[in-house]
Amino acid sequence: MSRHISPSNRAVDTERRAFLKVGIAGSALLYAGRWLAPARAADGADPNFRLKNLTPDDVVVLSRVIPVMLHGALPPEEAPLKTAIGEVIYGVDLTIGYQPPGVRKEIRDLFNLLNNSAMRALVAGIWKPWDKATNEDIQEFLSGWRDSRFDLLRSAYIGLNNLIVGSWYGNPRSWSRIGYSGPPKLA
Amino acid sequence: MANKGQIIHGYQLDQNQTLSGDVIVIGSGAGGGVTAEILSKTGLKVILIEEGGYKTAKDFHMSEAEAYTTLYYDVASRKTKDKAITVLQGRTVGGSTTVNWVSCFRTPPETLSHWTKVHGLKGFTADEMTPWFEQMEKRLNVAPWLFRNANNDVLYRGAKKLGWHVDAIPRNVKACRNLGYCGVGCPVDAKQSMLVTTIPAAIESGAVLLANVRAVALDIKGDRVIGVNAIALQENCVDPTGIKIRVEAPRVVLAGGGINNPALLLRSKAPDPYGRIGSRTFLHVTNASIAIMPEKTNPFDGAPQSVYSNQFLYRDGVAGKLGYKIEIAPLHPVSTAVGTLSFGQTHADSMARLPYLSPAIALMRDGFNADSAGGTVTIADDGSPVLDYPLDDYVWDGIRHAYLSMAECQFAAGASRVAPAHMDAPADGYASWSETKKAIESLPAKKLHAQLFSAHVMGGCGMGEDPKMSVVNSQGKHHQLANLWILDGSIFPTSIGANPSLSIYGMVARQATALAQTANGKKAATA
Repeated sequence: MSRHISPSNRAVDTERRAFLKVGIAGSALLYAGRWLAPARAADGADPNFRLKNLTPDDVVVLSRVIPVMLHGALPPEEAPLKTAIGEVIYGVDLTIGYQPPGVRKEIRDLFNLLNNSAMRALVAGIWKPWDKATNEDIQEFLSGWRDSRFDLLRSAYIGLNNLIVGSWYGNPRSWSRIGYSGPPKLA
Repeated sequence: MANKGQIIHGYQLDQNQTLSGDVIVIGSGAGGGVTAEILSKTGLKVILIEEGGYKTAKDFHMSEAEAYTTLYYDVASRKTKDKAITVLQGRTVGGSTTVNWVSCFRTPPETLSHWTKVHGLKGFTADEMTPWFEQMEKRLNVAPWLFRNANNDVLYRGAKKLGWHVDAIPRNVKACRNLGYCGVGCPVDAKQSMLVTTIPAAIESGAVLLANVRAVALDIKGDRVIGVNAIALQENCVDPTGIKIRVEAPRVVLAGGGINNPALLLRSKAPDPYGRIGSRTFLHVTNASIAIMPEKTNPFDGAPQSVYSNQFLYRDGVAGKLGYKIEIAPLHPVSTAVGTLSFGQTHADSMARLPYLSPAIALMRDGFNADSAGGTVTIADDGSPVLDYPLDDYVWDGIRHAYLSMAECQFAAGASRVAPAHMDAPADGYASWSETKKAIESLPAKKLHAQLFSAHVMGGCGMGEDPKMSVVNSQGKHHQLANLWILDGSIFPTSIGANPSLSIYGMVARQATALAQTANGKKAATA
């Protein structure tokens, strides 16, 4: 039991510390991401995708979060799984392009926050780089935000959830598993 | 006969433009579409400005991914300021009428009577309004839909079993094939939206439609609007192309809805001596209860809404505790997925139940009580609208009551389990009515816990005869600006208490007919 109790305490602690650290106004949290914009050059992007809104750093985050968010819904074999994750990322990127500037900025702030190692640790409770984080670490992060006492983290979770699950279930590959055979044929 | 008009796509323009006509109509939804047809048919040259794109049946592929991005504001997830309520609002030619679920109700007599007595409106008694509803019902082929899909049948059976009110929903369709994809654009032009009725008729009579064009500000001089400054948008209907468009006409009509109209007036620094612009903006705040049925419902299949219950619409009278209308929502993969806020295996399991789900929804009838002032529209630094919609105890009381009613009805219809759409309820819900009842009584009444949405935006530029309390008069004419009208749901002084499309069609038909007479009279006098 204690194994289960301590991580959730940790999540609460990290939230609290994050707020103390980031500052005075609660709503400063996501804005903080703006000042921490990735300094790294946008290199190493997967050449298969021409992403317009997501950076290579965002892709690293999503590549780890997507399989946890959609665990049980994606194909289990390695190659189809990789393809599916790539398609989800592509859908997320496309969707952001239809959002108004204000929403794009909020999404940018969210990714900047997750891309920054200090903020990632303090606010998301992920103490390792994303590509080293375990599925359990990421589950802990998602539960922590989903069930947070802070509206800002709850709404950030909902935003991340909607971007990812919206992208996957818009993809016809997701449909057979859920008993949906697609739209009717128009004769 | 007038020369046929035309459609101009903003993203194709490569030079700044200046256009002129008799009347500028901003917004092409229920209000703008009806206005454009009525004015055009009397010979007035209408210039119709629409931020969304001109998409028609051939562009509608029954695809959520495609439709939510191209036909709705903010990918069908426009949010209130605190993100507690998701607002579904069309952004395409025809506005929300292109993507709505085609449910048409006349404005309830209780609402009309409240407007007459409390808000001092003139011409809004049920007797005075009936001919206008009849006219628009005929124009848009509105008739009760007597086929119930399995999803709607859950509400029908539950209500019958409990002895509640339940009835068939009138729909504006012609040769409907019962496909179930109204929300993503009708692929067979059965839906009698503005896109296929009033707008083509207006163009036939000489109207010019500017699609992918956003009205940025009204140019106001003294007590008149002397022009509209607009910009062309790229195909995503979001980003400017850099091309500017100036439109001038002796009269201007706003019809962009309860979020966009107040924002446009605020950006234009329109006179507002009593601070009314953007106040009393109403949603039908809507919560949901998901039944898991023992038999397949295939909630993606068949007319999305065909029955409703008014059992609790006036549970405490017109101005008492918050009442609500119960209906059914359709479900498709994306809408189900984004409404399911778990993750991992729990989310995957919920999704696998899709063919067995039946979601009931309850639409809160906000605005009839002193404690029920709705929300407020302001503008952000970049001029974009922000809707602040506080949820107080009055609203929460209605929401909790509705969670209970919907669950009771679903169990009465034979549900195996019922899950209130609330983040603190288990994803697979509860197994009995008594268990569910107990659980609902202790679910926190908190934003971002309860899952709330609304497809109906009303008010924000309210009607009234007292300028201290309203933005326009009963004819939709602006109190301070001599040549500005607002003709759409944004002038409702309260919410409607029913899906608002026919309330907009009927009211605007009357107001636009009067406006046409005034405009033609002036035109003849100066000719």
